[in-house]
Amino acid sequence: MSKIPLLGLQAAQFRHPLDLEATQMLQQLPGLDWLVRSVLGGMAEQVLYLENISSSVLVSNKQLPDLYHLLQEACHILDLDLPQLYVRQHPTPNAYTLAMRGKQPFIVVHTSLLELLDPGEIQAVLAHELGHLKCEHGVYLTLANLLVLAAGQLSPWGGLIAKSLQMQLMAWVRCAEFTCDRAGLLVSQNAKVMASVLMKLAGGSPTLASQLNVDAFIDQARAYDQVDNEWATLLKTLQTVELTHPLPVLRAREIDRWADSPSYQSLLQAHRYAHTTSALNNPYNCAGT
Amino acid sequence: MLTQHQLSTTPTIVLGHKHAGFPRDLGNPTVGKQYCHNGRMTLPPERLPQIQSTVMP
Repeated sequence: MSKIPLLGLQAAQFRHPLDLEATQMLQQLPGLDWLVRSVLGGMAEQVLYLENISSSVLVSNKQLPDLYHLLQEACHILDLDLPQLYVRQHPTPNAYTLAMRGKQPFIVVHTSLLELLDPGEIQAVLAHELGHLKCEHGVYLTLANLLVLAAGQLSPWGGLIAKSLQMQLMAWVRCAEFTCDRAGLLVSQNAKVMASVLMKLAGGSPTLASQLNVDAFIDQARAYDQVDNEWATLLKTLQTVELTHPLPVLRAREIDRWADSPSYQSLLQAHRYAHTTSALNNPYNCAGT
Repeated sequence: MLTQHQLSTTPTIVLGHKHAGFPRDLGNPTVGKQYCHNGRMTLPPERLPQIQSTVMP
């Protein structure tokens, strides 16, 4: 079955609740997002553009076209303009973006990631990064970071206030990752694909790929939850508090849950209906005549 | 020894908390766990021969 394009999709429709709340709060401060986007973002974008164009491979319809088509389809589904895509030689499977829709938005994927994942999973990774771009996490998280930095300058309790704000900021950073895993699901339209990406990042390799079991990996989250006493709660908090991303098994479980949720199902259903209606009304569509 | 490769793959812009802001990545669990090598933060030791052979064949 072909994938449903989510035309007109808004970031707020798939943001994690905490990500949505925090972003809306910052959007109340007029001008600050513009400042981050145009001043800091503009400089960072230029530095990274020079680095990418000089030391990575720029993907296009003439360069790694299969990868380019995966990006094109993902952008079409998420209703987003095509960013530049670079492949970079690196032994650690990863991908990143500036997460800001400036003059030259981009995504970089590492070569080892392409070796580790199959095409559907690679597209889910691209969609995760496109999720950051769609939500412009780079703008809002940097802005929040600057505000925390400013709070730290307040005396005499500035340090304490900043510490508390920083913990909240990191909680937001982690929820922003849940948001982008949802973008991965919106493009793959199959929860197992996104969960498989997370499983392979946690313990995959090209030779193990065919033997890995996604359901068993999601079940690991249950084992994690079963370690439940005061000491374990403290350990889990310490383990998580400084992390930029939620723990892999929890990410896999979260995406599995969201796939079954009414919000995901209704989002897909609404666009499925719109897509079918538009296809039937198209006089050039052979299927509709 | 830090190779050009290692130096050029950490474009993080440090503002306040070093991991909050841009760029955003996918979240490989091993990323961010740095290793001290001759007094410098670098990649895990097992990665070094691989990188050095790539950069300096």
